[in-house]
Amino acid sequence: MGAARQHSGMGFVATQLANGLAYGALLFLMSAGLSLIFGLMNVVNVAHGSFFMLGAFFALAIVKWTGSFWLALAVSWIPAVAIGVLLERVFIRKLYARGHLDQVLLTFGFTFVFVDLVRMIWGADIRELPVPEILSGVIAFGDVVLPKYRLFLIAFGGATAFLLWLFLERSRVGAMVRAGVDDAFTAKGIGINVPLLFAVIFGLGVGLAAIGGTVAGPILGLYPGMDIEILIPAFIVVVIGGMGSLRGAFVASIFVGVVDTFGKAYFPDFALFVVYLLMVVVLLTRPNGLFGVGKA
Amino acid sequence: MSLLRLDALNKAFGNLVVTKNVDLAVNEGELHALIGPNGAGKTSLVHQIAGQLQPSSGRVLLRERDITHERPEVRCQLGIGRTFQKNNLFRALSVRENVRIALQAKRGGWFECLRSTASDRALLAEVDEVLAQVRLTERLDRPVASLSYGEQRQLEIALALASKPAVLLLDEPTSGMSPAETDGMMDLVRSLPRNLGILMIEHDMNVVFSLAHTITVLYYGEVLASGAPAAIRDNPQVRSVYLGLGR
Amino acid sequence: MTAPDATGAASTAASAATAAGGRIRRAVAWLVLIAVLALLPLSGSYATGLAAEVLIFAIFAMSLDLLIGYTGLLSFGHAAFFGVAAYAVVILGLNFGWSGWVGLLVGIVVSAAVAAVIGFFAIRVSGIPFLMLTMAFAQLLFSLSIKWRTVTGGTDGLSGFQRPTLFGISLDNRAVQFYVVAVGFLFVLLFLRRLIASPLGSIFIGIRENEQRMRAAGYPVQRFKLVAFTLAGALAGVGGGLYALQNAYVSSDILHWSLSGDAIIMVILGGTGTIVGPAIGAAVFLLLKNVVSSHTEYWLLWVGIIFILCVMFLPQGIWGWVRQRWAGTRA
Repeated sequence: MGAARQHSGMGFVATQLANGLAYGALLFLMSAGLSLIFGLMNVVNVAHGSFFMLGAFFALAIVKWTGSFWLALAVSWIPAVAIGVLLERVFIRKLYARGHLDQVLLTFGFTFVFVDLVRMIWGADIRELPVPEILSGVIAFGDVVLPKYRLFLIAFGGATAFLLWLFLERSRVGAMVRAGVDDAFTAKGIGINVPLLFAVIFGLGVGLAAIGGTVAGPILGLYPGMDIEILIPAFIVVVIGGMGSLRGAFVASIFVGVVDTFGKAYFPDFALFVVYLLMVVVLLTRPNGLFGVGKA
Repeated sequence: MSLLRLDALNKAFGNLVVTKNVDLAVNEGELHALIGPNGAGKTSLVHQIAGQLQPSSGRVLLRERDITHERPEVRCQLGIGRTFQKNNLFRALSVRENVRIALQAKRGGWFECLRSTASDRALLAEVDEVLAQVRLTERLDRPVASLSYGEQRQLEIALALASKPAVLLLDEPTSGMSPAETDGMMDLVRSLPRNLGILMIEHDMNVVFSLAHTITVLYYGEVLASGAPAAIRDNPQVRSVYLGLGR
Repeated sequence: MTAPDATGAASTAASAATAAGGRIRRAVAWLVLIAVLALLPLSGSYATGLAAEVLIFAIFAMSLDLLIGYTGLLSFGHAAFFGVAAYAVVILGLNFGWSGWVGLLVGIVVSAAVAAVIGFFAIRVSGIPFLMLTMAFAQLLFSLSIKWRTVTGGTDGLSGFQRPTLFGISLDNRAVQFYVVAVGFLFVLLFLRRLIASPLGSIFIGIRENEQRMRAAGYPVQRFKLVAFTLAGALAGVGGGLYALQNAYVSSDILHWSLSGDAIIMVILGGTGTIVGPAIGAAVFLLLKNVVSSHTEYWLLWVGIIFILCVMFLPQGIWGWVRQRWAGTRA
C-alpha cells in the first residue's frame, strides 16, 4: 500500500473530493434522465449512454468548426435530442406494451448502431475536447489546489439540478411529469397528453445525457466506448437512488461519485469492487433504493 | 372452538387506519358475510387473514393456532383458501392448467423434474372434478384470457377450492356479474362443501341475505354490528350509515 | 353398428391422430438434429469449431432462459456460473492434473453452489433491483478474477491445459471436441424438455405468470426461485465446462458482464419461454457476428440493425415467428 502513503494531507483529499463531486455531477446528468425515463415511462433505455457519447462528439464537431466550447455546450444537445425523439416516436413507442425485455433488445441494437456510426465518422482513437481558456488551470487555496474545470463541473451539475427541480416543482409541465411519474394511467385519465409528455420526457432525459457528454469531454476524453463506460455507473446510481426519484439520483450521484473516486485513489486494485459492494448492500437493505417508491 | 378467529386486529398505514380492533369468528359450516361501504377495509381484512398483508397488532387464529406471522403459502397449506376481488388467474395458461397447478400444491412430489405432468391421470381427473364443482365444463383447454368475466370468477373459486381449504375467503364473488350470472354464483356457493367455513365479502344485499348465516358490518375499519341477518337488517345504526340496505 | 357417441369417438380419434402426428414430427426432428450434428465435422475445421462455439453458447442461453423465460427472473449475472465452471476445469487440470472429465463434473457442482449462494441473496428482490444485484455479484467475481492473478491468470488467463481423452482419442481432435459438445448440448436440450413438462417446470411457469397466485395456492415461491436459479447455474456450468474443454484456455473475460449481456440478447432474439428459441438465438447471434465481421469492420452496425428489425417485426423472437408460420401453414 505504498501508494497510499503518498496520499495524505488536506490538499490531496480536497482534490479527490473535487474530482469525486465532479464525477458525481456527470453521473447526475446521466442518471437524472435515466431515472425519469424509467420512472415515468417505465422504459429501460440501454442506449442512454449513446446519447452521452453523441453529445460529446457533436460538441467536438462544433468546436472544430467554430472553435467555441460555449457554443458547443449551448447547441450540441440539439441533434442528440432530435435523434432521441425520433427514436422514441418511431421505435420505442411501439414497445411500451411489450415490456422491458423487448426494450432492452431494441435499445441495445441502437447502441451498436450509434457506436459504429461514431467510429465510422470520427475513428476509434481517443479525441480531446479542448477546455476553454477561462476554465483551464487551477485555483489555489493555500495548500489546496483545485482544477478550475472540476469546479465548473460541480457548479454546472448543481445548477442543472436546481433548474430541474424548479422545472418539476414549479412549472405546469413539471407537474404533469410528476403526475405521470406517480401514475401514467391516471394522468391520461385527467386529460394529460401522455404521448406528447413521453416525447418531452424522453427528449429531456437524453438531452441531459448529451449535455453531460459535452461537459465530460474535456476530462474523460472522447472515444466510441464511452457510452458503456458511463452507462453502468449511471444505472448503479439510479438503482441506489431509487427509480423515478430525482432526489435519489442527486444524492446517489454524489455518493457514488465520491466513493468511486476515493476508492480508486486509495484502493486502486479494488476500485471496481467498492462501488458494486455498495450497490449490493443498498439493494439488500433497501431494494427500492434510497428514495424509490417501488415499481416492478 | 371456532374455525377462524380474529382477535383485536389492527392495521394502520401511517395515519391511515384501515382496520380497528376487529374481532370476528367463523365456525365450521358457517357462511359469514362481511359487508360495509366502499373503503370500509373489507379487502384489507381478508388480506390480513390470508397473509398478503401483515396486521399492526392483533392475532389471526386458525383453529386457535396463531398464524398471524405466517406467509401466504403457509396459511394456504394450513387450510385457508381465497379468491381475489380482481380476477387473479394465470391468464396465459389454460383453464385446466390453472386448476392443475393449484391442485398440485397440496399433493407434494414437487421435486420430480423428469416426470411428465400429462401422464398423471389421477391428477387430471381431479382437475375436471374441481371444475365440475364450479360448473365449468366447456372449453377447458382454452387460455383463461378467452373466458367470459363470469367464467373467470368461477375459475377463481375453483383455484381456491383446489387447495382443499377448511376456510374459504370469497372477495366479492358476484362483482361485475349479470343477474343471471349472480344466480348461478349463488347456486355454486350453496353447493359448496358443508363443512367449509366461508367468509364472504359482498355488496349485493340480495346475495348476502339469501346465503349468510351471520353478517358483520364493517365501517371505517371497525365492526359496527355483527349478528344474525334479521338483527342486522333491523339495526338502526347499520341502516343509517350503510344506505342501500334492503334493495 | 351405431357407436353410442359417434362424434365423441371421431374427435377422440382425430385428437389421437394429431397426437400421434405430433409424436412422429418430434421423432423426425430429433433424428434430423442428430444426423446434422453427426455429419457436421465433415464440413471442415473452421465450421466445426464455429458450430461447437454455437452449441456451447446455446447451452448457456438455454440455461438463462430457464430464468428469464420460464421463471420470470431477469438475471444479468449469468456469466458468473459459466465462467466459474470453466475456471474449475482449467485450474484443476493445471494445478492438480485432474482429468477434464472430473473437472467438468466438479465445475458443474461449483457453478450450482455459486448459483445457490448468489441466488439466496438475489431473490430477496425482484425486477430491476434483481437485475442489478445479479450483475453486481457477477462483477464482484469478475474483479476477483482480475485481482487474484496467481490463481486465475487475470486478464492474461490460463493456458496449457491438457485436454482429456475419449476412448483413447484426445480431445485435441476437432471432430471429437465437437461430438463431446454436441452430446452435452443434446443432454441439456433433453433435460430441459423433460423439466418443463414436469411438475417442477409448471411451478416455474406459474411463478412467472402470477407469483401472488402461486403463494395463495400454497407454494413456497422463494424456495422454488432458488431451485430455478441453482438449476440454471448448474446448466450454465455444463456450458462453461465444455467451453474449457473446447478452448483449453480461460481468462477473466469469461466473467465479464458483456457475456451476460450477450446471453440475454441470444435469449430475446431467439424467443423467450421456448426451449429451442435461445439455441436459435445463440446460433443467429454468433453466426451474424462471424459472418458480418469477416466482411466489414463495422459489423456492430449491421448486427444492431438486425436486432432492431427483429424486435420490431418478430415480437415472439425468431423461433416464435418460425413456429407461428408452421402453425399457419398446417391449419
